[in-house]
Amino acid sequence: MSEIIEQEIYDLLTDAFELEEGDEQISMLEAAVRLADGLRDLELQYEIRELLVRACVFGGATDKGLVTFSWCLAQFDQHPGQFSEWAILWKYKWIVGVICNFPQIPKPRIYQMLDDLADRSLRAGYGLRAVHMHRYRAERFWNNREQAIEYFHRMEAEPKDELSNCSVCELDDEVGFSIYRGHDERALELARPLLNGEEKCATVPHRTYANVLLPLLRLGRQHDALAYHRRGYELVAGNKSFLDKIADHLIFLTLTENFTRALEVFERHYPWMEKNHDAFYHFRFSRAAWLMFEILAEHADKSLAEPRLRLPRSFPPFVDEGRYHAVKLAAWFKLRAEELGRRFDRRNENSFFAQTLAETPALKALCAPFAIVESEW
Amino acid sequence: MEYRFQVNLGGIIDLLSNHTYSSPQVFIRELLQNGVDAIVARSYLDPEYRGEMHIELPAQFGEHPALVFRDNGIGLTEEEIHLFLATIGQTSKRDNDLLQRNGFIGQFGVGLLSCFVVSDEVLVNTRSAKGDAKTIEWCGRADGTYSLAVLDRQMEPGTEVRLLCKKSAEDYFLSETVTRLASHYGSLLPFPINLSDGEGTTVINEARPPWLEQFADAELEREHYLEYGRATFAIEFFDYIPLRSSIGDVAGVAFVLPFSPSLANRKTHRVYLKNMLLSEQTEGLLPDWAFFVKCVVNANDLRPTASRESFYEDAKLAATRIALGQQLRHYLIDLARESPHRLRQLIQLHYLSIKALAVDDEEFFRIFIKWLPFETNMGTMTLTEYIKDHDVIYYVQNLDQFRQTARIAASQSLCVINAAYTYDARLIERVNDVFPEVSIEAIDSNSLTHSFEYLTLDEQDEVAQFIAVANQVLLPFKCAVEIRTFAPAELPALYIAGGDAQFKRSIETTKEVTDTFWSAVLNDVESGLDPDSGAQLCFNYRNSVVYKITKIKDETLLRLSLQMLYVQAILLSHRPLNAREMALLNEGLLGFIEWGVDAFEGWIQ
Ligand SMILES: Nc1ncnc2c1ncn2[C@@H]1O[C@H](COP(=O)(O)OP(=O)(O)OP(=O)(O)O)[C@@H](O)[C@H]1O
Ligand SMILES: [Mg+2]
Repeated sequence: MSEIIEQEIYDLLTDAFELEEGDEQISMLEAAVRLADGLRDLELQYEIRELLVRACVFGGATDKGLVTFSWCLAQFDQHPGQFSEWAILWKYKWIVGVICNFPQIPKPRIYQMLDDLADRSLRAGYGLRAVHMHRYRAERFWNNREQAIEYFHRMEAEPKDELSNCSVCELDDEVGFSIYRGHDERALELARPLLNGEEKCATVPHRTYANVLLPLLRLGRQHDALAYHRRGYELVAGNKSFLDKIADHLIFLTLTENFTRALEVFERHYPWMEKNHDAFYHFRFSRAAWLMFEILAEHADKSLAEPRLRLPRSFPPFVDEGRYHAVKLAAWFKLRAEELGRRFDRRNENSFFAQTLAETPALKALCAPFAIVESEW
Repeated sequence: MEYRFQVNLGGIIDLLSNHTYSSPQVFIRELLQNGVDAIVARSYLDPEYRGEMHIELPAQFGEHPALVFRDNGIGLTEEEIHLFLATIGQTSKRDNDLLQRNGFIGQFGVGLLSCFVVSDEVLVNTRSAKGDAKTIEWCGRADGTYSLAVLDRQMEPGTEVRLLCKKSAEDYFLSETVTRLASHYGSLLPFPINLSDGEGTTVINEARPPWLEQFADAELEREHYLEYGRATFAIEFFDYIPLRSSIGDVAGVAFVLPFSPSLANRKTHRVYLKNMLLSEQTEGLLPDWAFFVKCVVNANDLRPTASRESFYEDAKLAATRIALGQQLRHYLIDLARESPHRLRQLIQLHYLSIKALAVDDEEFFRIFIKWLPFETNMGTMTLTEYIKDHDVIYYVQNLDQFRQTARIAASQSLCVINAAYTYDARLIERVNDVFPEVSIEAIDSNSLTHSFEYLTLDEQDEVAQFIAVANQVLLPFKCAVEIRTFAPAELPALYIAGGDAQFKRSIETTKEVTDTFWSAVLNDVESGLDPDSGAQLCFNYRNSVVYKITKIKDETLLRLSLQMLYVQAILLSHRPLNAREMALLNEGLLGFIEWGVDAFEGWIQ
């Protein structure tokens, strides 16, 4: 009996490996976990969950990833020496990398998690480079600027080790840091090998392309932005763990007045809101959609005010014939973004998210038509 | 006061030669490339001239195996040697009007350094084709020094590079290795490469690729292309698609794979730049959806990256990708028009690729949707087949839910599509574009119960007591209770966990092992979920056992029965029991045994 089940598990894993990251892969691994739990074979339960954590984190289901990870960590602690220490710490990093995105997790708990990761890293003989990187991200998340900057520099001062990110990811982080500091030109200079395809890894330059769009618009380099939008959008369009980056592309398309394409992108990715439960990503996407619909509603070309959209029935303002009012959608997404923002601000004990929303309409100053011409390159 | 950086040459040479390239064997590529560039440069001076290269081995040089690369190209003058050959990072191929002609492969001025990986010194004899130049011998060494001498003998214009095998590089000086690598990198080059070893001389690149040939008829063309595919990849391809793009100056062929490629086997095209092999793992030349083909292509006008193993990601590459994608797309559309039978075969192998394109391409979607297969609980079928018998398309978006749903749906004669697979849900959601009359409905196991019959009012009265106790028993398991009538009658109860219910279940299971800190984190996560989306146990009033149990008056026996039905329903849904459910099973089993023994003893007495 148990051999049959093992075979079934093995088949599921084989199929799962053949898939790109996403729900399909996750559900296969979940099925495998259920079977392994039935067998009560700890090694197997653990190994498959390790795969599942990865699939969830890179497939846009961080809530499931968190739950699965906590199971692994508990078993790791209860069975000293049985499972790889490096592997669990590496996954721990992924988890602290997304933990701020859960507004229901209080700040002290996040700090406690970071401290725990720091402890464990040191006990395992690693340095704090990776932990400082995540402290930087957490502080940045609640806009504790000085702390964030300090942690970034402390991170740089620590030697690289097996827990720190790969050099490509680190370069991307440096690009992000420069943008955060307001050094757009420096960021673009740093990003060059990422943008032209010389350096890549699993999630870079996917994110990089999206991150440089606004800086490029600020510098008036629409042409470059357009090229990076093209390439970058293709890279993120197939994986819902990039929903936040889709939001960046949406903003780019709106600000360059490529409305047809912007609406296509919106239409295509709105359904991800229902599949990826990450509240921060929802915030980002809602904010982008708000900006887009507001610009459409206010546009001199009145025909833009009533876009035709194909959206799922589950979309709360769904209408049957698919004809929407940009004004109403703008209001709806604004409300949605504000609700989410409030949850984050309450947890973060400040008003950074509210402020971000208040500053969003100012992006309209960057508005300048720059059309995509399909045939011209 | 201005100073200049001082460079430790040995260190730089070591760095560049050992770390720029992925493997030592690339020195052969670099030497070929330099030869090609030299031939191209000379042909600009004299269009009549015919280039040629010669590789010689094993010419023993003292006790070292040696390797000689000779070309009859442009050669170098003494001045040029100092300027280009002996200056790292300097190249004769940049910033001049020749570049505008796009002829050269070299661009960085470091390629020659790759020779130091296999040889401690590089000996060059050269004579420039320009004017009345002298023959010069140059010897560069890995420590960064070089010497130069003007020779008395005059050679034909061109360049001869001699390498002496360094310890542990012997493999790269074997005749088989050199032949293999030279034809690997250079088989497309448009002039002869002769290779001489002890055995004799052969031309290693005689065969021309089919896209450069003219064919008398389509049949012959087909034969040639497929033979070329067989010779190149040892695969009997399904079909071939000639590729051509003026952007990027690309020509080549895409072969349609006769099997569905695994993830790792996608994007393994053989890509040449200016007829020299660039890489066999190039990304970005074709659109992402096009993984049903394996290509051989040459591009004359795309930029390589510094490692020379992939293309520079720029607008030209993006436009080339679009152009090539269009050709693959046209091929598919033509196939759909002209030989639907072949298309059906192709779809069987490559429906994933086709679905990937159809999802984002409206016109393509319209043409192909009717051919594409979908998995249902009644076997795989196309949408046309599905719609023939059903007015409503039901689909489930998640594998677990499909498994939960499939069996029951079948017994309600409901045909349900498993749209958990990549692209399927998105394709189904657009179906109305082509079939406006059908309606489409996403379902999960929760919505299944909608088709279950309610009990009559009288029946409801009869089961009231049963439901009350059941609710009580299952309260600790956060499971709601229903009773309905449904097929199949053999099924006593259905455990349904749609939406967040399954996730909540896994949180519960996880909390059995986590410490207080992580349990608190899990509680936080749970607090964000929809409080109404719990699991449900739906009893089947048509089932004879359930029917009997609803009549039980003895509360202990009723409780025991309910517990066991609950556990059984979970097991039937292929979910493992959590610790509390396991305890319930044990308790129930023992309870029943005890109850049975008591009843039996009562009966004997
Ligand atoms: N076979 C040859 N015939 C004529 N000149 C040559 C030959 N090989 C090398 N050279 C000269 O030496 C220079 C340096 O060669 P090297 O391969 O290091 O750099 P490159 O070809 O210019 O650029 P890359 O680093 O991209 O290969 C060339 O620019 C060219 O001027
Ligand atoms: Mg060269």
